[in-house]
Amino acid sequence: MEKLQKNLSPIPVKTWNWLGVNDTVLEADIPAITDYSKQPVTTGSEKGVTITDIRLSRDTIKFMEKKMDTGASEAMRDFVKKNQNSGYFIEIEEGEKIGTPIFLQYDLDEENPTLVDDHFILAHENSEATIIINYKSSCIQNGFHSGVTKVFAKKGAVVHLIKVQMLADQDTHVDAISAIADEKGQVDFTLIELGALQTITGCRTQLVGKNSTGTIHSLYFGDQNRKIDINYVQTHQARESLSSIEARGVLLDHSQKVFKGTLDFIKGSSGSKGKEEEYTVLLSPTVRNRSTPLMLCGEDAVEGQHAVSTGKMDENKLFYLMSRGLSEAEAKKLIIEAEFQPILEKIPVSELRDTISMYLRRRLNRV
Amino acid sequence: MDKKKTVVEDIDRGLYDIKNEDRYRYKASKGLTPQIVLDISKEKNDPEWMREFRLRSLEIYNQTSMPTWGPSLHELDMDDIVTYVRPDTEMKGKWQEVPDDIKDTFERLGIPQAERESLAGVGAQYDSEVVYHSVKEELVKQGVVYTDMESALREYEPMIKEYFMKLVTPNDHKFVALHGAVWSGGSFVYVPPGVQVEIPLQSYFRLNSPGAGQFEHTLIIVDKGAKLHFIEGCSAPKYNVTNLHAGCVELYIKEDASLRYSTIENWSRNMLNLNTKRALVEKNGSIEWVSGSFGSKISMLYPRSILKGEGARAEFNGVTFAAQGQVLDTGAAVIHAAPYTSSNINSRSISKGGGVAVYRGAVKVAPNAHHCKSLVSCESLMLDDLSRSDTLPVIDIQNDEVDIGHEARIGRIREEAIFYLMSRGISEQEAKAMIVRGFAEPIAKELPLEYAVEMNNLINIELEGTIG
Repeated sequence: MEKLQKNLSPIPVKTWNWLGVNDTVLEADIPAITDYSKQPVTTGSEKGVTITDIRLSRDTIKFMEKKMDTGASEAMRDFVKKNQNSGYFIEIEEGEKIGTPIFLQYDLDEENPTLVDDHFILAHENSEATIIINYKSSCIQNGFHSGVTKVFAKKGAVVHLIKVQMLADQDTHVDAISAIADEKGQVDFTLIELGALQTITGCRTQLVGKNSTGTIHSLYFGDQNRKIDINYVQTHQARESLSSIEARGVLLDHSQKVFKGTLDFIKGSSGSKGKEEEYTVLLSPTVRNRSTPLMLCGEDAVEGQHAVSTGKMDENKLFYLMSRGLSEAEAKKLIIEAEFQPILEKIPVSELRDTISMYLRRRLNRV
Repeated sequence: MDKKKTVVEDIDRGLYDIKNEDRYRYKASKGLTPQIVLDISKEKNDPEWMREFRLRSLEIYNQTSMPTWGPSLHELDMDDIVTYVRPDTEMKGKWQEVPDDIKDTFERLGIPQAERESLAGVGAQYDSEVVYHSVKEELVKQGVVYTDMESALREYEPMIKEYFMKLVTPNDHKFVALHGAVWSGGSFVYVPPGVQVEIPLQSYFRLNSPGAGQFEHTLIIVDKGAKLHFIEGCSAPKYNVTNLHAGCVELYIKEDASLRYSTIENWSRNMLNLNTKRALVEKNGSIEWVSGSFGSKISMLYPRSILKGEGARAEFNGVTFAAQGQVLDTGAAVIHAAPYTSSNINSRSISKGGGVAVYRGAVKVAPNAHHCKSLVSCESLMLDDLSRSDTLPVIDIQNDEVDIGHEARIGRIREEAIFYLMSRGISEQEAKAMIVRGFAEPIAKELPLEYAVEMNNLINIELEGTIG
């Protein structure tokens, strides 16, 4: 167990140790992993979709798994394999466009305080689906979640994966996503990190096929003593691949955040374009906000750009709203909600969107 | 038909590669032992505290591990490095008295001509010792001190003891500990309160001896309200053995004072350049770095500014040109340690022929440093797909009253820009040349004097076909 607690989410290229961003340490103790007895799949069986227990599908996915780089440490991959207590192999048939999102709901409670989930989403050629995985917890102390989700979008396939994390204040959340997009394939992630005391999360996309696309829209909210560690990597391995990372967040109270975002242009990825943007609003003098936007380039005929901007809330906007009769707190809430809205809009299920908005509003009341 | 790629010539190193006969008065044995450190100390007639400092630094060096990040330094074998070479001459105050071959080398590098034309003082270091030093009389009258470090250690011992390696301590990293143990040569500058030195001072470091290291120490104190422009240049001929440069620069900028520190690192392609530079800036003071990294096999060079006083400012303008066989890992770090401080980092890199250019940077804002501003801008131009260009910046902010921005861009020349210039009657070739020159221009225009020659070599590229 000791091994899992260090070097959990390394950046692709190390920098000065004194900055403390090279890797991540899990601060909580890892509890004994017990069964997760609930049924998380809440959708009906759609035509063109097969959802099976991943343990029964190991042989099918073994070959594809080998190609995938989770970005998480070896220790974490071993940990998930060894301790897995839930997980599904979700297969979308060739040419099928699944209209209704596939929904997995995980809810930690006193009887199921630990979750180690392992998922594999395989979208066959020219298929399309949206998968939503929601993590929350009710009435428990020190819940623990650790998981790996792998996504394989074959030629022309499109996978939208939405992960929402609203765990309780004392919980621990360690999550890694790895994805491969084949020719003209698209992997599109919306990742929302709102809860847990410590969040360590990563997403690594390998654009292996010509004209493949990888996008990440990310939202985070830190308050109280929360610690958030985010590590996204978009690797351009093929020609004319496209990637983007857009992250927005707010930090309050004593919260801390490390954002690591990498665009990696491998030699041979000519004609590729990558873009990364991070915008953080700081709302307390005791927050700590670290950003590490890396750009690695071994190919000349590419376009890459990244931008990070951090600071106080736009005072002109605040002034304008307050001149219209809103209190400072209300004005701030409105601005933050407006910032988050474009990313929340990406969630196609209105009930979930509303739940997140309510959850955020409650937390923003502390602003 | 394949698109023709741009050909960018290597910098002609011609005059830098001229070697002199390896004549010396004293040369330490290869390697690094307490006895070698004691021998250097004895040779230099160190005071007791300095001898102890050297031995303590050696202990730290032995206890410190190699960096776990950055370029591989596996080629570095300290058992093969000579840490001290005293050239076969004493330090001269008159140019005519410098031995002919050494004088010729510096003449070729343009040092005395620059001194005559536009410098207020010059120091010239050959291998481990400063061989020539002069400073204009009117500055001496104003109380400006510009001398070599050894003389400073004798003549200004209390001040040296107060400041020497207090800003960059031997505990910082392995190669600074090494520097603390075997340092020799370098410059000491003190500008008294309120004195404005309008004409630059310059030190030039030349390493001639094969397989040797150069560990010069530069200590500059610009006192309250004073102003200085200091220029440093370095070069070495190419040998087939690895040379090591682990210099250390400590700059103290007091209240309302300002320092501009310009340097071109143009070492030969067998050199490992592991230099450490740091500035401590007090209230309303300012440090301005102008930095060009061209030569060396491997460079690890990141000037750090510590903005300690309210309203202190730092500016960094750097250009890096990495060609075949080079890994130039360069950048800048700024620590905002006081309120109302500001910094501006502007870094450009060009890589070609398999060269690797890395920007490594950090902006750190301490909890008490409210109302500070920082803007970091990195741009990279890669001229072929053999080369690499990586950008590794880190921003660490510990309060909410800040305004911090970072942007980086990599890519080839845009067709629209060429089209626009051509539509104004400029030929395609010239349009491309203009764009590349324009890319390096913001830094090139800040470079002084004879270094413009080096920069011109960089800008004067031969264009054929398109970039990229």
